[in-house]
Amino acid sequence: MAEFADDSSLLAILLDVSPSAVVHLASTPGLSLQTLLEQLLIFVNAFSLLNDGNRLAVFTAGPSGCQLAYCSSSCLPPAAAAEAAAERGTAPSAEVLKGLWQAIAGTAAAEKAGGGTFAGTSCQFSSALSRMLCFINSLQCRAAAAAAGAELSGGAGPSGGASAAVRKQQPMRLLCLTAAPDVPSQYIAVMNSIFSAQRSGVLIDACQLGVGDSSFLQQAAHLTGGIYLKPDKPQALLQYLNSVFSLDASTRQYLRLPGNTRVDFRASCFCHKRQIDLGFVCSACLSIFCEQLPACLTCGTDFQGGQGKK
Amino acid sequence: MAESSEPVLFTKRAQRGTGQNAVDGVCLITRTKVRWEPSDPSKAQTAVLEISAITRTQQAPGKPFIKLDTATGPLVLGFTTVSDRDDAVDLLKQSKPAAPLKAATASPGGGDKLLVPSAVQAAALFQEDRDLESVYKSLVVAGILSEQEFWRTRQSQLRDALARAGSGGGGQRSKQRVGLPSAMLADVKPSADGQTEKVHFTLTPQSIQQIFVERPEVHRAYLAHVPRSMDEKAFWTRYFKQQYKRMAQRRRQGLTGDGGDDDEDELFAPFRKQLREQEAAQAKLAMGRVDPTVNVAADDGERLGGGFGALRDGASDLGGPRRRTALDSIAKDVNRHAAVVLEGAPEGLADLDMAGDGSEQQQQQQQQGRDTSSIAVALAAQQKAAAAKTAAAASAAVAGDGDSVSPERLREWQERAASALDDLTLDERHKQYTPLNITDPRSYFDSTAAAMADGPDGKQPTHHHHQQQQQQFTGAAAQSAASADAASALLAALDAIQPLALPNPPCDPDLASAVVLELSQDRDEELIREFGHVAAAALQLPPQDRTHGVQSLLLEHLRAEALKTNELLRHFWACMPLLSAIRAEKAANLARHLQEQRGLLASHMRHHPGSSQQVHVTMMLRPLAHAIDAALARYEAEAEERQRQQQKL
Repeated sequence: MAEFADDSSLLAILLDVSPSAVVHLASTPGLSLQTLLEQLLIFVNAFSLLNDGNRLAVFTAGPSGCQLAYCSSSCLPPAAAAEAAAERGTAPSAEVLKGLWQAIAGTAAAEKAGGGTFAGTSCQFSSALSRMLCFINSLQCRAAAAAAGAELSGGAGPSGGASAAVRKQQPMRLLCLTAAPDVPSQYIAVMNSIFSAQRSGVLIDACQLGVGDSSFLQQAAHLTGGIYLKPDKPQALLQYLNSVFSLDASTRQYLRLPGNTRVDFRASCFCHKRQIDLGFVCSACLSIFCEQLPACLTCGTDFQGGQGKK
Repeated sequence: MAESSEPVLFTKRAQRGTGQNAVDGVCLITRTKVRWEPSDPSKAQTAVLEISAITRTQQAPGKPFIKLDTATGPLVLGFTTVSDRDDAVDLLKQSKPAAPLKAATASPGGGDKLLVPSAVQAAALFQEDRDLESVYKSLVVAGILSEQEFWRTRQSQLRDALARAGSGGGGQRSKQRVGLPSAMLADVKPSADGQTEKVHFTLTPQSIQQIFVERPEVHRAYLAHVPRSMDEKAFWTRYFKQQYKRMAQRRRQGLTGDGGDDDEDELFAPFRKQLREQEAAQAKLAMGRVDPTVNVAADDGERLGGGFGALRDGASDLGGPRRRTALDSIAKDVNRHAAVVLEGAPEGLADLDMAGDGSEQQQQQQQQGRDTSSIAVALAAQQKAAAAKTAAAASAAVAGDGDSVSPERLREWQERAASALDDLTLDERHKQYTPLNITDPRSYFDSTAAAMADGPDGKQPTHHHHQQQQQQFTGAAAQSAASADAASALLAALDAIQPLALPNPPCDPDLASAVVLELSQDRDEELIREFGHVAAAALQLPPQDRTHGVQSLLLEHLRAEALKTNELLRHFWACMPLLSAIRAEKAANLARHLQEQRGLLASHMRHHPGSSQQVHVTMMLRPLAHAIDAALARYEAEAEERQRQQQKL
């Protein structure tokens, strides 16, 4: 792999703000919500200071969906970027804080207005992942278009063209800060998102703050080449963030980092969305079922008295 | 079975012959005999072969066939599975080596035979490879494996080593066949003395042989005429006159474009014609074997004979047909020469006495004459044999009618063409496959949403509709409250943060340094669970320093144990799956030794309890122990399976 012109990267952070996560985090000794958020903001500042070209996006994920709380001005379309740059101060932490407040308040208001039409207390992890991947894809498309435009117009903006070409290959990664348990019913959607991330070369890092390990995040990190970490001492979250997740992919290959020792590869069945250890797989479409069926629910293949492969 | 009192080692269903003529039956193998009995005695006769009489066994890779060659004729058996076949081959190999084993020991370098080095050779090998010696001592000398078993897994290594030793000590290599010079016949150049008009040609037995092979018409003419109607010298004079004329003509043709090879000497012309006819017939035969659906331009190169290369872009040559025939004749010569060189020197002829080298024909006419005739006769005999072979092949290929493609062959071609170009057979496909009927993906996500509505803990819907609704309502209300609480808690936390005055230090420095330590060290949960703080301390050392505490003698010993274990495991896995009694027996033996080895490793791991040395030794030996455990688990499963199958039989 060719070295990038600089070591800048794009980091998209997913913050789990679902009720179950908040309840869990609030009950963690020595780590109040306030300190957690403060440490996150310090990490955000540190990341921005590491490299001038570093770009940041922060998303919140709750039960009712995913919100973009903040993104660097260079992530916005040129016109909006100029406007935002004029408004903004110097430290990104202030902007992130403001964005988080707006996102959470907005969601809460929408939920109140909508009444009881929401589902569950866990976060919509699959939709959040998809949203972030779409965001990254739009950035990539814009960079590609800018690079093509710079090439066409020739000497019109040589420096702009060059930076666009660099941005086009800027490595991108996601960092998921979650505390809510996995929702087995999201299995297919999450796996699809993971595979799309894998295809588009987006690393998924995961920092699991909740109870137990998250099978989804383990698989995501494993498949995309990211790092899955479950901190033993969540009170010092910042130290974990700074020593593991602030590093970009090209730097990581020179370091010994905590690896993904055990990955839980269990799948959810397609029929009842239960997590299963052992199941039945359709020989035609590879759908997974927890029980023997006379015919595949997905593709309708007849198993002739249940001769599906175990 | 009545006449053989020996125990039967192997009984498997096997067909005799292949294809449509195959007859169902059973193959039985005893210590000395292979016996095949038809299941229907009216269809075929029982065949019995002495194993010692088998000269060669051939196996088709990937197909369950075996061919046993004997002096009386081959026996072709088709088993139901490849593993059956392999078992039979194993058995035959084990029954057979009694005699040839000693021969192999004496003369290494033989093809498929098992190589076992002599004591001196083994000592030399051990000198080179100390590890080999230690493994040998711990397994063969200790009686766990036999000498043959030990060396069988190392055949290629052994062969290389012995070849290396052999080439140093001189000469066990097989003799290489002498090739033909690749100089063309045109190199038999006339030499002129410059004073008279005479030219001299020099012939050697080798060049004569080459002429005969490359110009079959000369060979035939020689056989027909020489002893009777003309003598040796007259014949060769005639030949070279014609040759000289031809050379001169070819040289001239470039300028004048005059004539081809039409004005042949009448001595060779009839044979040439005969040969042409034969070639034409052969080309036609070859065409018959070409699948027209694959090779449309198959006949293009055939007119040049030999089949090595073709005239490039001959059609667009400006020189016209005449020049083309001339070029054709040269191309034909080149092709013929190439074919002869590729076929190699006919055996026996290459070894002929080369005393005639460079001597003039006139001076050694007598000897030459004898040589030449012997060459001609030997060559004729060889060609006859080859011709018989090709004729047999041709008649087999073209069943019955010589000049047309058989209908079944044509059908086969057509089928193949149809299957290769399957986008041309539009409607057939739709008839063959049932389309995959993927249900609407929305149903999946709808059910997902329903499951979400049930709550993340997957509450099962109750039967009472009303109750369910109520439950859902209360659940939703509770959740909505929880969500509002969470949002307000988060907002409160966010409000409390002063973005421009973030706390310093952000977290407890001691905690942070503990985290740095935690992240930068090896974690081995199992070790830490087993050894507690000792393991944690031992793991903090960098990997290269971990052997420091351990004595070098112990390390050496552990290394030998590891080598031994690996060798045992290799032999053990070679016995899997347990398809024959012999394999099962060997595997049982090996499994017992592996168990002992496991115990030994475990005792090593228990040594020096509570010390960091124990942790390090455990780290070194644990993968081995796991490998043994896996092997033993597999063995138990296999043995159980085998027992069940035997009970069924």
